[in-house]
Amino acid sequence: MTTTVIPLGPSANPDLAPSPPRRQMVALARGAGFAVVGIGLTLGLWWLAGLWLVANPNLVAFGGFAPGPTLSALWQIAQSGWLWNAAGASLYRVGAGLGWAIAVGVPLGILIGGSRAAAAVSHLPFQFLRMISPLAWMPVAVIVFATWNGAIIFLIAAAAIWPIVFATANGLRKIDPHWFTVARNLGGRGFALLRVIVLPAIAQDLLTGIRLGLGVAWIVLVPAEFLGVTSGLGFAINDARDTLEYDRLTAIVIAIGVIGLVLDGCLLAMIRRYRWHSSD
Amino acid sequence: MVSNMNASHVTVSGLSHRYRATPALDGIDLDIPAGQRLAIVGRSGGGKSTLLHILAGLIRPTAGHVQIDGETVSGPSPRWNVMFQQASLYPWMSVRQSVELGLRFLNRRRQGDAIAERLLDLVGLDGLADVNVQKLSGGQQQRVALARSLATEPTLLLLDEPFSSLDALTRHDLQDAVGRIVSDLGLTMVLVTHDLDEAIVLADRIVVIGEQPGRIVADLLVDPTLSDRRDTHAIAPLRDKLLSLFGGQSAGGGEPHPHPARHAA
Ligand SMILES: Nc1ncnc2c1ncn2[C@@H]1O[C@H](COP(=O)(O)OP(=O)(O)OP(=O)(O)O)[C@@H](O)[C@H]1O
Ligand SMILES: [Mg+2]
Repeated sequence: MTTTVIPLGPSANPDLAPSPPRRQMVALARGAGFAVVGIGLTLGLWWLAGLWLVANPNLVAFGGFAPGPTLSALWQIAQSGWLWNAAGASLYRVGAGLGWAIAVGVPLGILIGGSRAAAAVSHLPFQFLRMISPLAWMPVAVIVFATWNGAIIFLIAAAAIWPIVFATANGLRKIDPHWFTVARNLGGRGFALLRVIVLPAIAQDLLTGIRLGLGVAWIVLVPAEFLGVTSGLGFAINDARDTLEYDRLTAIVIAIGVIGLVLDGCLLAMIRRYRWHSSD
Repeated sequence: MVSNMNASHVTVSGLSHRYRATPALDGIDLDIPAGQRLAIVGRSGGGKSTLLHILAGLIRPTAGHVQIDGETVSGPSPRWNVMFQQASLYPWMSVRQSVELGLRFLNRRRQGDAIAERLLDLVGLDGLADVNVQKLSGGQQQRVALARSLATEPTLLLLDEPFSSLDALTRHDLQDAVGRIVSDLGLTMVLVTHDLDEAIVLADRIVVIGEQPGRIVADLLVDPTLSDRRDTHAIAPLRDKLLSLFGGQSAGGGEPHPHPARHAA
């Protein structure tokens, strides 16, 4: 038997052909260029606002908000380790809150994604609860939890749980029922079925839910830390305001944004790692 | 040449099944000796898949029971596996991971790589072990599904129209592959199909199931001396006989052929 080899161009099968490194580099450079322009514009606006503050006799006391003082304060609190202590306390609370949200939200999501009855029963209560700002629970949380830390972790969990529940349920509903038949036929049961089939099948949706949950958790964190505790980034903002250190205050705000961006980037990377959908 | 040491002996007695209001199977009795290659043919909705699912322990019958090697079937087992119409591969897995899945469920993953290697060779996918299954063609995906059903070293292979979603040439290749593998491994095979030619090519024995509810209306042995089963002339008498059995069963008696397009050889 003879075989004729038909040479296929790189476009013959875009899935199999690695995209040429040249084009990838160009795309990367373009992306980086746009990012630099975006950051530059933001810094420029900020700098102009700072000039305006200093030029205005009524507002000159707020000169600390300008980029110069802020960035030097940021450098200083980062160097002294003070920033990392505050961020560490906050990250611990967000981590614990998110951990609880996952521990409770994923099983709940599996339940309502897997059972029509559970979905129907939970629909109204969950939609109702979802619409309540987690901060509305603050007085209740303070009464119920013995420590401020406990109350804050609860508020974060209450904020983060809903996207996780709904994303998990959504992912589960997309599973091809035939996958269960095949797995059962091959001896898959109970926990092994969950770990080997269900979790990878919903991983992308689940991580997207966690990413959204982390987003709200990070937003809720700051107001939650305004109360009671004497550590964390939220407390640090309040503290800087009370001591009129506006440069430090702005530095903390910047740090909150940057840390949030990094956390979000980590989850995005995980989503890319575990994605398998050819669509979306 | 064929040793029946690896093969299962299947007995089906008094098997009936209904889905709520729909009677699907009624009083099926069947004895499948070890190493036999049985094809079950019948019209759509005749209960063929139901029968196969019951054989595999995926559905519990309403009445009657199945015994495999003297044991009553009560659930899935690594000793028999089904290959379905759709490959139903898990899109996040590589070819190797797909093949090893059954061993993973049995906590026998350590043997996985060696077994997968051998099976991929057998089904003609060597060299593709680390490719994601989404990058395979339909025929290659069915080959993975075949290797996956063989990984737990079953003695009974159950096939539910495994080739019907493939184009004619690919189907032809896969039929040959399955025929060769089943006889090399000396397995008992139960093949459900719409395709009479496929049944004749692959089976020693053909059972025709009538519809609503499914009952055995004919049970024929394929002449073992038939030399070339792809020879349309040689198989014509058997094919005509099967067709007439189909025709006799159809309610209106109008169209005698289950799927004319598929058989326009
Ligand atoms: N899960 C189910 N629930 C209710 N009825 C079902 C179910 N599965 C099959 N049936 C019905 O049982 C009958 C037999 O179905 P089955 O799938 O076993 O037939 P089949 O011979 O495999 O058909 P086909 O050739 O189309 O695959 C049909 O009338 C079908 O509608
Ligand atoms: Mg069927």
